[in-house]
Amino acid sequence: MHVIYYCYGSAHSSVASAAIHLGRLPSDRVPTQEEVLRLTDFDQVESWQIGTLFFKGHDEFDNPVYTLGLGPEQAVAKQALLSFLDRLGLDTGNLFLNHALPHINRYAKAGGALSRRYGLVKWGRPLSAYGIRRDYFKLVEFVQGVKVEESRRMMHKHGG
Amino acid sequence: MKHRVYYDSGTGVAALLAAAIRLKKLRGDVLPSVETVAAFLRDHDKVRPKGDVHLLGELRGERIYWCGLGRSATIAVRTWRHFLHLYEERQEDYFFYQVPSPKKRRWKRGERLLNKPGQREKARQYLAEAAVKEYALFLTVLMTDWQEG
Repeated sequence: MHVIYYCYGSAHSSVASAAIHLGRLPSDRVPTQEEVLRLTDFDQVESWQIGTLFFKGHDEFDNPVYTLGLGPEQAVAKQALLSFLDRLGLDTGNLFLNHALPHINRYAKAGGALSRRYGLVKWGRPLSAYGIRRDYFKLVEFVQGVKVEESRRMMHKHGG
Repeated sequence: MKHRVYYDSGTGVAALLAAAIRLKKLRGDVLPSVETVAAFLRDHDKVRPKGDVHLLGELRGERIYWCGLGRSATIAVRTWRHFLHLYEERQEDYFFYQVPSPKKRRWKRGERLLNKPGQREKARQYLAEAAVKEYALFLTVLMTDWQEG
């Protein structure tokens, strides 16, 4: 199963979610500002890379975890992806797509836009990290929900 | 098997027309009448979610698809390529063609009305009129017959 966290640009909410999923950020406490900023992929993706599938690592179920940016019309881009694969007769049942953007607050979103869209990295990057930390446990809760569902799907797949 | 996907940045009607010419469902050698294009649209422009990819038909071992991608056009194509890799598909079997939409006001009005109940017939008429006036747009796309057209 491919676990995919998607958002607007694959730079903040999906990156932080994947990091929690893979244990690169803690689940039991709020990480420090430095811990968030030290993630090699946090606030890094450029606009022209939106739509790229970024591999992040394997989780405890040995499933590959990815992040993906789907731009301003995420529902349309997602529909285009899934219907395209369906028309080709490819099995989309092994794709587990999770929308990370609704699980971060406006500070993180504003910081992300300042940094990625307007190039104001100096102000945007710390603001987005602050936003992630401010409502951190909402993000942890989201990822834990993803893991529960992932585990359920794995059990179902193996007839458990 | 080759797969050719025609897409546009609107509702998909421009992509549908280009795909139809490719499949010879619409003439490419002579200018069709407004009535012919409107009738073709009546048979094919079903209401479906934006972004949905449709198979229009098959010709000489090639499958021809069309879709409207709105503002997601560039992103969707990049994502398709990455997922083709994920599924270990042969990239060289897939061709994606961006179809520009006619600039006519009638085209824009037609696209706007297309999803309004009771307005679809009027929408098709607007679209057909604009399409016939700028038919060369679709033929030009069909001339860009190489990878990433």
